[in-house]
Amino acid sequence: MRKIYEGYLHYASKKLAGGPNARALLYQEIGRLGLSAFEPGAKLVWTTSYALPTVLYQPFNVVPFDFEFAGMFLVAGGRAAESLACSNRLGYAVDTCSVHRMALGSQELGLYPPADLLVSTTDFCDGKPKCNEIFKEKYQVPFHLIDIPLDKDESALDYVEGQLRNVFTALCELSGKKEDESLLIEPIRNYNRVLVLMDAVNKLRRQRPAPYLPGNRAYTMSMVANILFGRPELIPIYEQFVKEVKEAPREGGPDGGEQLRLLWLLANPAYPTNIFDTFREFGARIVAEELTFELMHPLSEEKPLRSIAEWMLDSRFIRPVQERIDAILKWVNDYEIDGVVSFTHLPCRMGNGALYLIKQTLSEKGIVLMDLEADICDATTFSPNKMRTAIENYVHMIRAHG
Amino acid sequence: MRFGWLCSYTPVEILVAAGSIPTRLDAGDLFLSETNPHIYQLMCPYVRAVFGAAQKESFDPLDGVVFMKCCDAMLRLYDLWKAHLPNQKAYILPLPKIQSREAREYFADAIRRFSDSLGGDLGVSITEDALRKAVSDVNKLRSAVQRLYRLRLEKPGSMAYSRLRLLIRQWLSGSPAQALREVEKELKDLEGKPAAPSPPSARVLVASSTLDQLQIIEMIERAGMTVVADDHCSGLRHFDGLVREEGDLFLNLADRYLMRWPCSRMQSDPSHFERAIDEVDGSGAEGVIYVALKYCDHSGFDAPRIQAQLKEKEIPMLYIENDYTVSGLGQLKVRIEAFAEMLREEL
Repeated sequence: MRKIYEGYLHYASKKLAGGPNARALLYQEIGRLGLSAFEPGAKLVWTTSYALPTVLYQPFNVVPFDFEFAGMFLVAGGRAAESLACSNRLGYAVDTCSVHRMALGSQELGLYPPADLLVSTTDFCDGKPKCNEIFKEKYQVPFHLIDIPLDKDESALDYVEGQLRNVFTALCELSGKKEDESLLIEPIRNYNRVLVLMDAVNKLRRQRPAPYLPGNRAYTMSMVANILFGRPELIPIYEQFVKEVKEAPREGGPDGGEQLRLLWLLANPAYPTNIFDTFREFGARIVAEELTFELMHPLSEEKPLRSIAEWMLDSRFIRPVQERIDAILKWVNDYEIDGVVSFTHLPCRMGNGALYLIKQTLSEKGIVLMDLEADICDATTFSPNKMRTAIENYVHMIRAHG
Repeated sequence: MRFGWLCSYTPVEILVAAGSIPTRLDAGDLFLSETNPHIYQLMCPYVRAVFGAAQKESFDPLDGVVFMKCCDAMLRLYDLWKAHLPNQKAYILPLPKIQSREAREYFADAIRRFSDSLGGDLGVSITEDALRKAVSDVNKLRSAVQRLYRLRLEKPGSMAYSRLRLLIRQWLSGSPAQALREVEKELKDLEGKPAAPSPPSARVLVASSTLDQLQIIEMIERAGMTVVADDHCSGLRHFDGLVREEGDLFLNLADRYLMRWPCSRMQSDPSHFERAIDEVDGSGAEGVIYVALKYCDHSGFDAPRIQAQLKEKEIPMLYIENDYTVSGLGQLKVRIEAFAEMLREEL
């Protein structure tokens, strides 16, 4: 794991020698944060940044460590096989989520820096709390599981805020700080500033034609950046990204110009694939991603913990699917979407369980949903040829729909 | 009036108090293929089977169904039910994974709101008296089934587990008062029976999330093993703990459901594990047969851990992965027989 982070610093220094680059700046910061977890005396809080904003950890001298993202960084670094094999050896069912099997295997292999505190949530999926339960047994450290209810009303907010307060107290104790909620004001201000910049990126991408961004760049930026939410270092990184999006080609470009506008649902494979190159060949530009919107809820400097609770309860994955469908239809309209692509991570029950309902609803509105079935972490299940054919067929279908 | 339920955490007392018969929905594998166009394939086969059966109207007519947000698959089943079976009332309740006082209060409030909503929809008033009576009736049923399990343990061989499973399936599909009468009849029969001079056979505990496939249980028994205890959603765990009958009934319901013998989904103290191991110890089981439902993340992560703990106690565990169908039963038979043989040799 340490080598992965060192690799990020190496990549960044090479890239940045040629001038400012948002992606390189982001990975430089991720590399620094990651390496700080291995420093003697570092206090680590294992967490899930997409479910609980890391703003909560910034006032304290603790290192937030997202074990799911760490696993995906290993996958991207070509280190998946060893961890997945280790998970298999331990006996965890192979049909469970590979992101979690990566984390369990990596932990067992000693690739991760050890936890001092575990914080997780019950939303998004069942595997995440289960992994934390296992990590708690391994490290014998406190585990705070924040229970997320189905509704978002005053009583749900009170319930979640109360649990967040317990985590806040635990963080104060761990870092020796006096309990004072105003500690969160500065990180919230930093996060809200980044939110404005993320919104600026979205506005630019709403334009027609949208700026050409290589790969699934905007998705990568927002998902990786969320590990740094609340840190001042993220602001100049996103300022640079806004600049790059403004300067990105609209007419022409490596894809020959925008021909189709796509909305991306769910995640991305963490290993290299031909998916984005194939879309590029057809001038299919991804102009919005569901998970970026998932991370964008303003926080309140006046009511820090309550607004973090609101942030968490705003997730569209914790409630019945109709809310998610309504949001997708809104984005389709706002971004003038021609087609919707769902990266269907095979073992994700929460993400895929009602996918056919989404598909059906979109179909009734004349929008074709492409179900890209693959695994986020396990490249052995991925067939480039099949994927290419599927994308080709999909593009033809969208064009046929006019 | 009949309402379906699926999760063992469903507060059926509310349904009973509303004058309804709470019916646990289970289905064979016949309808698994029926769900293909609508439900994701790599999902809990129990959920898929129930959905298929509902679409084929294979259940007795239902006035509605109550879902719990107990796992990812169940939340998505609720979505599908609402979309494809719009004529049936569907309710979903949040279900905390933790046991804190705040969680219990939140759950109590959710049950109260469900009660109000159900009463409003049905045009009935769910009075405190009606709820108290329902709590009492369901408590009596729980106590009686607990007694039945104890008696079976004291008189090994007196009642086959496959028969008990069949009976429980019926009891969970009818009114608690009627079920109680039937349990009491079984108790009376069993009390009158001497301990069967059965040949020595290996005593096993069967564990699962949901274990509806009687064929597997019969196979275990035919292989010469005696199922002395269980740990699954419609076994003794379902009947564990009673609801206090005095004071705030909604809070009492929340307390009982969140503090009872936990399912694997719960972050509880004692943990699901510890409770299961206690059951192994208490029942004198010499082996454990763990039937994991395919695509159940809770089972998928738990099985190796429970196996490791049992290994420390030198109790062997047979891990079976089942997709709710009867396919592959031939292979399964060989594995179960081999496990029985191994236990016999150790005896």
